[in-house]
Amino acid sequence: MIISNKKGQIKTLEAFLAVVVISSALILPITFSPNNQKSLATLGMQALIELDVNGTLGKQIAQANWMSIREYLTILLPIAVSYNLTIYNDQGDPINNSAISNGDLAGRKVESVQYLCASQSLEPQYYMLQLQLALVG
Amino acid sequence: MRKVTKRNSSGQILIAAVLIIALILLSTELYVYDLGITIGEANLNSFSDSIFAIRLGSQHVIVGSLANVSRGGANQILATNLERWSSFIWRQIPRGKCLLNFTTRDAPPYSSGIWINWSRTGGLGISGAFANFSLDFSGMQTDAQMEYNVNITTTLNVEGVYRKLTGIEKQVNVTCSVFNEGEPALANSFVVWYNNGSNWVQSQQHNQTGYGNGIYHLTFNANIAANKVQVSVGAYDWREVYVQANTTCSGSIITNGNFTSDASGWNFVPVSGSDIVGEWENTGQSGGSVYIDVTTRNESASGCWNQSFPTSPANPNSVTLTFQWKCSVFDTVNSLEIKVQIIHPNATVFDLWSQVVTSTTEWSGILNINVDPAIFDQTGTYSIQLPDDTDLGNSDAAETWIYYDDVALVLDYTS
Repeated sequence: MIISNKKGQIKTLEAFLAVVVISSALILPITFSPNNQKSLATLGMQALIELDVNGTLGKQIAQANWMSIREYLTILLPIAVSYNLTIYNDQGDPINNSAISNGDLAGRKVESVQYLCASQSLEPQYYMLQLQLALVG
Repeated sequence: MRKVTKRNSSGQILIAAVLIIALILLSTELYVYDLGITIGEANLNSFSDSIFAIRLGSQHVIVGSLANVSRGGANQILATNLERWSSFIWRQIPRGKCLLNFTTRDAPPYSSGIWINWSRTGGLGISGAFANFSLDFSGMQTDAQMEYNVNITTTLNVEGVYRKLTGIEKQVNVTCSVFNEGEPALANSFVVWYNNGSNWVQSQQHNQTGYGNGIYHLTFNANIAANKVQVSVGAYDWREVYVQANTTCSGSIITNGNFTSDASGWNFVPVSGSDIVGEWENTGQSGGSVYIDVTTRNESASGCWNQSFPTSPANPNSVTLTFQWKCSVFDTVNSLEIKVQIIHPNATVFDLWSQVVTSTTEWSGILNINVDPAIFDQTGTYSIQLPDDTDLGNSDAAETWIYYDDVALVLDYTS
């Protein structure tokens, strides 16, 4: 009577399975591309550039038109993004006396953007903008 | 005695261990990968966007400075404002350094980076500013050096004609074209002066029509004895940069020869054929133009644009006709001839110019034709005609389409 010993084959199979699992663990992160989306900081920066490209941003700041800037940013940024903008003059003092924001950032992962702006006016003024952004939900 | 079976489970343990190791590897690599991408992308985007923002700010500073200088400020304002901008950037970039150096252009026609030229002949005025920049940016992970220049110009082009009203009163029509960096641009407002023979007088009231393409039509009435009317126009563009240009208006006796916004003052007269149409079109050629379109297989048609005008006194010393034309469609045509004619009060027809058209063309450019002044040998009502005589061939697509524009007829009585 011939007794077949399949232990060797099973071990080979198990070893092969182990190699497959380990290889997958190594290869998966390389092929995994989770970040086709722009980062929040990039979105914020590009919104500010969009607003500044024809001088609108500096003009609105010079006119202390905070509500208008808030409306522009709300349009330019995705709905799922909360932001809070603080504007400093060239002495480093905050000058927006009302919040330029569309929601509370507390408890959220916040990204921050710093933007330097010059107004397109007869006597150019210089501002530093600090834009904080967070994903909602 | 119970026999204990010793099972060999080393394979399962291996699999379990491998799974645990794989999970640890996977989670660690995912964390590192995600963190790396987020930081890397954010830094790279933020870095290039920051440089773009600085460049944008430099442009705004130059525009603001040019607006200031164009209103009477000193040329050195440009350098002063750029120094402040450079210093501001140096102070505001944290965790790195950002050094912005600049040089204002001093080669002619620029002085301290500014070029103001409002005295050119030909109705052209320029306000400009130019500076070169060198940016040395060192961040936490990235260093960059780049050079760029900012060239800001506001250009105003002015041309005009007038027509006599009663006595020495004249209606002056000025066409202004505004450009920013060579591209058509909008203007906020205009100021108009004219020379009444002894002084420059600001026109208190002028009608202004904008066409949304940088072209503006200004009209005002003034008592001016001279046969040539000198006009100076100042324009504030949408960036508040001021520019001024001067021109001498010729005394065209044609009304609305530029067809700026319509064909008012003109009549289209179909003479023969049934498929001939004359209309006004917004061609962007100093506003619009008029055209004559003939269609349909084997159509033979003629028609003309016509305007009558009173002429007094008679016997001018010289007469000049200016106009331009274009053929935009020329398909299956046996013959096409266009002309400019004057109809004398005694009904005699004078051909001032004619052209046999054989293909489509671009705008001809302004043509200057010296006209025999003897045609205007008596006072009375003359007419100018722009005829089109077309004979189409045997095709469904057969068609001709002729545009006319910028028609002016100047009768000069100076000896």
